[in-house]
Amino acid sequence: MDSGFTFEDFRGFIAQGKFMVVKCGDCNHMFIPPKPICPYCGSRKLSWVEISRVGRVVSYTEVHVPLRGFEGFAPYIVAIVEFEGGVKLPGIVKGAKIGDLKIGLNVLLEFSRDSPSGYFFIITPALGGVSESSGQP
Amino acid sequence: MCIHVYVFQGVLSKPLASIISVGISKFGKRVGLSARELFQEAFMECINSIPKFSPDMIGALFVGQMSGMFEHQEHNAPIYLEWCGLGGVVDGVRVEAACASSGVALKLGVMAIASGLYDFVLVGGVEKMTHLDTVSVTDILATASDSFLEQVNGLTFPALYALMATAHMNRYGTTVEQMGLVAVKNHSNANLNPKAHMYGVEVDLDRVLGSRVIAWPLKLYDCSLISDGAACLILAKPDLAYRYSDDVVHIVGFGQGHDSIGLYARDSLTSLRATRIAAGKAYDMAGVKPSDIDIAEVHDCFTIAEIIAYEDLGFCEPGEGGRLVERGETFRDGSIPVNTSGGLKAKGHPVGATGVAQACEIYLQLTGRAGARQVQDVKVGLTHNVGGSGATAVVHIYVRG
Repeated sequence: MDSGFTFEDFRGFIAQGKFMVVKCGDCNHMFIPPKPICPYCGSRKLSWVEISRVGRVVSYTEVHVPLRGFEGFAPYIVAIVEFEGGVKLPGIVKGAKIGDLKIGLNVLLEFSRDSPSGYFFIITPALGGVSESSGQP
Repeated sequence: MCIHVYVFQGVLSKPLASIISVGISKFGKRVGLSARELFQEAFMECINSIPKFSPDMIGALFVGQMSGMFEHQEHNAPIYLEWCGLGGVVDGVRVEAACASSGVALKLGVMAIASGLYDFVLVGGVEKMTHLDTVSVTDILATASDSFLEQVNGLTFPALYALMATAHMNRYGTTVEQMGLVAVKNHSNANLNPKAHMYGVEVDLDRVLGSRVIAWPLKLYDCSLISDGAACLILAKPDLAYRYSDDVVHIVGFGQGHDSIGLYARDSLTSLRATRIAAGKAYDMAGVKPSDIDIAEVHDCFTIAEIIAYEDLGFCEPGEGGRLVERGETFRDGSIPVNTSGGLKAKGHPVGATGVAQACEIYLQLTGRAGARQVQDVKVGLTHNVGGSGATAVVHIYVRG
């Protein structure tokens, strides 16, 4: 039986424009991809929570030799972004040059049908630039 | 029960299994040869160097191979047995752990010997890659990353390691020149290894730094090679080893570790937890410390990976890896020579063959048979083999017999 914490559930939320992650009721860790067992403490006391779409760049690269299916995007920037609760996601950064990127930069998760993953990251100066690292990258 | 204990330069180590012979195919673009033929090439070299040993004494084969997609051929273990004249009663097991496939196969071979159920085991690894175009190879290799969130975001393997490089540079000040020196070192070693893919190719720092970007900040010469190749070795029960070979190397410790399949989900991008776990287990089992290691083959799929490996294996402090190579410590004449074979970077990286090829180099070095690249007075060796971006790592420790 579907545990209610499948990747298809996550994709369904993304398609609805909701950034939902799984939160553990015992150790309070948040994580994605969803799993019915907390990867940090083994608890099964889990729930979906909606979190802020504003995150902080943890690392980034510009891909010149693309993966099959991404030829039309190349070269493209992929960043790992950390969100509320330490949740991290990789994603393509839309509308930016490699020189615009910086570790600590604030970015916004934007949902888009044009993206193979269902979302892009966008840089928005309105978010106030660079955040100090909350932990080690 | 009697447990044999050997003391090597003050180190207390119990041989778990002993390597009595190795064989390596030429690595490179092997046009017109398939995986099974490359495996047979390595096997013949392995068998021919121990004339007192008969192949019918082999009880099992553990063979690492990442993907049948390269040749549209799964169900591979019986094929290698058949092509080596071993088809029938020998147990054949193919092991898949991405680029750590044959490192894990080696561990299973050691376990099979240590279990007492087998006297002699053949361990090997192989991959045939160069007949496909780069996009197809990149696509197959990417299957070792997370299909949920990495593949759908266009992340190639160079891109995953580039994400580690960016984080390492930002946190520790590691430079593209330091990464480039890893490539220069490994190419200079490969130039002394006739089996290496890049044997005969001179590479200096300008060539590395001037090469085209693959995934910023990694350039072409920061990346290991798409190669064809195979490697194998024969493991024996330690008390039987000297009957068949004068050149014996004992495996005295191993460890395997894992982490999340997705790089993004990990606590750190500047260290591989799987390596730290694997190394800790291996050092504990062997009863040795990082400072006891005389020579190592580490998983340099990208130059940054070698720098991170120095740190995770304890050859230097976290963040000091770039400076370790800059000081020349990991060159052949340094305090801890690393990747004397040329490494994945320049010997080549037929992914499934890599883990066993690393063991073969340590065997050659510890038995004084490494030819022009021989390092003097080496007694304790280490191999470090990583799967994917670090969801698997396996470490072995060796001592001269």
